[in-house]
Amino acid sequence: MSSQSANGTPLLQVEHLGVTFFTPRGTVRAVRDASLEVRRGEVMGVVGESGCGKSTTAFAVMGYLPGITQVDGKIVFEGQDVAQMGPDELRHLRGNRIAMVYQDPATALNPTMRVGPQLEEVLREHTDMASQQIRQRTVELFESVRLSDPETVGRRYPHELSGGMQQRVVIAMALACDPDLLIMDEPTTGLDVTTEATILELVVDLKQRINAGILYVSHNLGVIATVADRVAVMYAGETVEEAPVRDLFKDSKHPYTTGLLNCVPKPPTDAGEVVQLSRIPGVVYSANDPAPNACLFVSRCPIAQESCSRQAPPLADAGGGHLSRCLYPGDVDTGIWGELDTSVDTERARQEPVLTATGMRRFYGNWGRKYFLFGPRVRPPVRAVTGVDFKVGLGRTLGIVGESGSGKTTVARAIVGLVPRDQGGLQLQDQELAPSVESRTRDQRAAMRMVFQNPQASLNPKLSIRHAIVRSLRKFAGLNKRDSQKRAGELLQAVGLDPGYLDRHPGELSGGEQQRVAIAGAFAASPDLVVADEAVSALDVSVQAQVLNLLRSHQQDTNTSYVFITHDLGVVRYLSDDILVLYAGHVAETGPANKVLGLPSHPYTEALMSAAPIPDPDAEPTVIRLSGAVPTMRAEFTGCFFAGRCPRKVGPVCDDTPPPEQIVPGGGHLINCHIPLEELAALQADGSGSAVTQASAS
Amino acid sequence: MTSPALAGEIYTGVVRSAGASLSALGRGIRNFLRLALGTTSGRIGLPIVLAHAFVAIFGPWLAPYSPTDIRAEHQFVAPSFNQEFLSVGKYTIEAGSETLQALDNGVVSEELRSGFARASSGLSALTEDAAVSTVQDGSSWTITQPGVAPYEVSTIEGSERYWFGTDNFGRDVFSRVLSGARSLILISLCGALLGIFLGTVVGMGSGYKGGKIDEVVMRIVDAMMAFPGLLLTLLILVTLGARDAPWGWLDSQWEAVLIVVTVGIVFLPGISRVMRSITLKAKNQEFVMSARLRGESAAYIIFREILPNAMTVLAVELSVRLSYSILIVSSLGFLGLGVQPPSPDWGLMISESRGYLADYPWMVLAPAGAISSLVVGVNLLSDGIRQASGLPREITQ
Repeated sequence: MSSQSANGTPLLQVEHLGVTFFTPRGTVRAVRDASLEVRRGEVMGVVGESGCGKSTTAFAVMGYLPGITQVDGKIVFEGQDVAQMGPDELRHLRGNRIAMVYQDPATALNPTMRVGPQLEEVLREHTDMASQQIRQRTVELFESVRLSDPETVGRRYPHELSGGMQQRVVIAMALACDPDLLIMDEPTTGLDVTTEATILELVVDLKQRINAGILYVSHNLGVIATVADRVAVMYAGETVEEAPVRDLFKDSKHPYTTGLLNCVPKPPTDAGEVVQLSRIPGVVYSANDPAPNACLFVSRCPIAQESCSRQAPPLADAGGGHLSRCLYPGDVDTGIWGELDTSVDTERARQEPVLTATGMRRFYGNWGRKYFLFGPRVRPPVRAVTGVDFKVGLGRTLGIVGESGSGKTTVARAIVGLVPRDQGGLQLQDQELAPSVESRTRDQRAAMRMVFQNPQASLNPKLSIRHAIVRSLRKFAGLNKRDSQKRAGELLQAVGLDPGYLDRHPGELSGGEQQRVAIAGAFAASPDLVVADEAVSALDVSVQAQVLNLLRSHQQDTNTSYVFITHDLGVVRYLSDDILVLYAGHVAETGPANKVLGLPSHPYTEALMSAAPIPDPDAEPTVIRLSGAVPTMRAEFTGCFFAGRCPRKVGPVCDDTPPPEQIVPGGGHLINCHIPLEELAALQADGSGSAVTQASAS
Repeated sequence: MTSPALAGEIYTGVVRSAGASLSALGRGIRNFLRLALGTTSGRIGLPIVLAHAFVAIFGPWLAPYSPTDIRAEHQFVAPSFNQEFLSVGKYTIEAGSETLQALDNGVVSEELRSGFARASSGLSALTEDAAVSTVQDGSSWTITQPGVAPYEVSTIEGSERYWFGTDNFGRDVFSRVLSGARSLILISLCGALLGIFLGTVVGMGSGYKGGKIDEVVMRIVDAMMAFPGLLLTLLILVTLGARDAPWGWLDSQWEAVLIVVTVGIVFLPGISRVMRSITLKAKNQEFVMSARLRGESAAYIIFREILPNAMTVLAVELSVRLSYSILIVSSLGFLGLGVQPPSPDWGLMISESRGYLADYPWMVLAPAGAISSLVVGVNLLSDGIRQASGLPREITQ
C-alpha cells in the first residue's frame, strides 16, 4: 500500500478490515474499512473519537470479538493470514507473539492474587523456564517497566498499588513473553496526567528497547503526538488518514483531522487573545446505517463538493506515503474550518467578588475508635479539603486544577452545598451561605447552579428532557406550567438543540447533547455562578469544543461567573481568568491565569504543566515527572503538603515547617512554597534539566 | 365562582391528565409485555398466569355447579366428562356404560356391586347370589337377592359432568376449584402489593435519609427478618383473628384483611432491603444531586426521581413475592386460619380432604394442582422478567 520502509515487510498488515456485529437491536458496522500497518520498532497510533472503531480494530487483531460477528478483509501477521490459522496457532499467536494492554488496569489484574504470582503464571503458561528462572525473570520484568523496588513489589496485591503502578504491572505481563506486537488500548485514559506522562515515557522507552511493533489506540491527540511514529485517524469505522506523525499533525490531508486538531483548546497568545475553537457540525455517521456510495464525512465537511456525495473515496496516496481518504486532499488546510475568531480577553474590571470562600474545610468520616463505639480515638477522619480561600469575580472564571484526590470535587460540592463544609465561611455577594443546600434559601439556590461531569448520570434516565428543564424553571423562575414549557424550548435553542428534543429521553441523545441539556437546565434561572465539575472531561474532543464554545459565549452574553473544575490544563488555560491549583486539599498556588501558568510556578503546577501532553510532535519533551499518587490525608502535614513527591524539595525544612505564603508582586498571585520566588523562577527558566525526580511511590 | 373559562380549564386539565395517565399506562403495559415475552420462561409463564387471572375473575360464573351445594347421593364421584347415574332402591350410584351393558345382559357387574356398597355405606351389600331378574324397556331393572326385598333399578334422566369428581359432600370439585381462585389470588396479590408498598416506603425513606435513622430502622428490619415468616403470620392471625373487627363493616372481610396485612408485614424486611440498596446507589448519582440543588423535597426525590429507576426491580420483586404470598395464603388456608368452610379455598380443600387421599385422590390433587400451576406460572414469569431486564439473580434473594 505505502512505500516500504527499510524494515522490510511490516509486522502487521490490516487490509480493508470490516467488523460487523449482529445484535438483537440490529446490525452494527463497527469497522467498515480499516487499513493500517505496524512495523517493528515503531509505534502506530490509532486516533479518533468514540464510536469510530479504534478499539474494535485492535480487538479484531487479537481475534477477541464477541457474539455473532462478521469479519471482512485481511489481517496479516508476519506474512501469515490470521484468518487461515487453526485454533492452536491462534492461541500461540495471542499468548506469545501478540500481547494486549487494556484501558483499565484494575480489571485486568486479579484482585485476589499478589501481582508477582500473576506474572509468574503467565511465564509458566507460555514458556518452559524453571521456577528459579521464572522468579528471576519476574524481577527483571518489573525492573524493565520502571517499577520502584522490583524485588518486593511482586508481593503486593493490586489494590495496594496506585493506578500507574497497576498499569506498569499489566505492561510487564504483556512483555512477559517478548511479544512481537504489543497492542495498547487507551492504556492511560483512566490515569492522572502526571501518571500518564510517566507511562507514555515508558512506552517510548520500550519502543527503543524491545524491537517490537506497538499499536497504540487513544482518543487523545496529545498522547498520540507524544508516543506515535505513524498515525492512523479513524472516522466512522474507516481509516481516513495514515501518515508519519509529523506529516499528520503539520500537514494534514483530511478535513476531519484538521477539524479535530482545531478542537483542541490552545493557550491564549501573549497578547491575551483567545483562539475560538472550531466546530465540527453534526454527528459521527451512525454505525447502524449501511455505507452509502459517498464519503461518510460529507455532511460535516467544509470543503465537500458535489462529487463527494456521489462516490466513496478510496484511501489513496496523497504524496510521500501520506494516505488520505479524501477526493480533494490538496484543498485541506487548517483554514477550512473558518477563520478562527480570536477575541481579545480584556482584563475584566476587578469588581466585588460574587463568591468568597475563607478557610473552607471539609473532613470525611468521624474519628474511628479502638472498640467500635468505645475506647481511644485511633483513626482520624480523611482531610479532603483543609482550609481553602478563593474569590470568584463577577463574569470571571475560576479554574480549579489538580490530580484526582486533590480535593477539587469536594470544593465544588461544598460551594453548592451538596457536601456541607465543616468549617470556614462562604459568601455569595454579601450573604453568608449555609453549609448544606437544604438550608439555603430559594434565591441562593437559584443563584448557584452546577453542571456535572457525567451527562448521562446528571439527567434522570427515566424522565424526559422536558422534566429536567421545566422543573428548574418552575422552581426558580416562578413560571407557570405553560410559560415554562415555552421557555424550555427557547433554552434548548439557546444551547443549539431543537425544541423537539423536549419529549425525548436522555438515552436517545448523544453525550454532547446530554451535556448541553444539562447546561440549559443550569442556565434556566439566570444564575450568578455556575459550578462545572469536570463538565467536558467525558466528552470527545469535537463535542468538548462545542460545549466550551457554548460556555464561553454564554459568559460573554450574561456575565455569569464560573467555577470550572478539571484535570485538563488545556481546558483551564482556554477558559479561566483565575486559577487555583489544589494538592491534597491544600492550595498550592492561586492567581490570575497568565501569572499562574507563567513563571515562577509552584513545583506542583510546574509538574502538572510538564505532564500535559501537547498535540504537537515537535513540542519539546519535558522532564519533570511525578510518581505515585496524591496521598489520603488522615494526619495533618508537619511540613509542606507536597514534600512527599516534590521534585524540587530543598531539604529537611520541607518536612518540618509548613510552607510560607509567598506573594508574587503584581496582583493576587500566591505560591505556597519554601523556595524563594526568585530562585524558583530561575530554576524553572533554565530548562530544569537537573530536576528529574526519583521520588519513590509509596 | 365557576366561570365558564374556569370550567373549561378544569375540563381540559382533567382530559389531559386522564390522557397522560392512559398513555403512561399503555407504556407500562408495553414495557411489561416486552419484558414478559422476551424469554422462553416468560412466554410459558405468562399464559399460565393469565389463565389463572381469567379464572379468578370469571370463575364463579364459569362453574357448572354451585361450589357449596351438598348432594349426598353424588359423594366421591370419580372425575369424568360424562357420568351417568342409576338409582338402586333409595341409593344413587355412578354407572359406566359397562354396567348398563351388564344389566341389559342380566348380570350384576363388579362395578355395580362396589358402587352400591359405597352408596349404602356397606349396609346392604349385593351378594354373589344377586341377579337381575326383570328387564323392562332398557331403562329399568329389578335386582333380586335371597332374603332381601328386590331393588328397583332405574337410570336417571341425563348425566352429570364432574370433571374433577366430587368430594365427600357430593360437591363438584371443579366448581370449587374455579370459585376458590378468586379469594386466594386476590388476597395473595393484595398481600404482595402491600408488602411492596411498605417495603418501598421504609426502604427508600430509610436509605435516602441515611445516618442514624437508617441505622435504627435497618436494625429493626433485621430483627423482623430473623423471625420465621409463617410463625409471625400465625402469631398475628391467632391474636388478632380472635377479636372482632374494629369496624362493623369490616366484619365479613376481617380474616382476609388480617391475612393481607400480615403478609405485607412479613414481606416488609426483604423488600425494604432491596429498595434501600437501590436508593443508596441512586442517592449519589448526579441527577439526584441535581434535584437536591433545585431544592426538591425528599419525598419528591424519592418517588419522582428515584422510584422510576426502580420499576424493573419492583416488577421482578412483585412477581417473586406473589408466588411466596400464594404459598403463605394457601398454607394458612390449610391450617384453617384463612377463609372459613364451606367457602371454597384451595388450601382449605386440601386440608379437608387429605384423609381421603388414598381412596379418592382427586379431592386433593385438584386444588393442589391449581396451587402448584399458579406458583409455577408466576415463578416462570418472574424469572422471565428478571432475565429480560438483565438483573442479576441475587437481586431478590
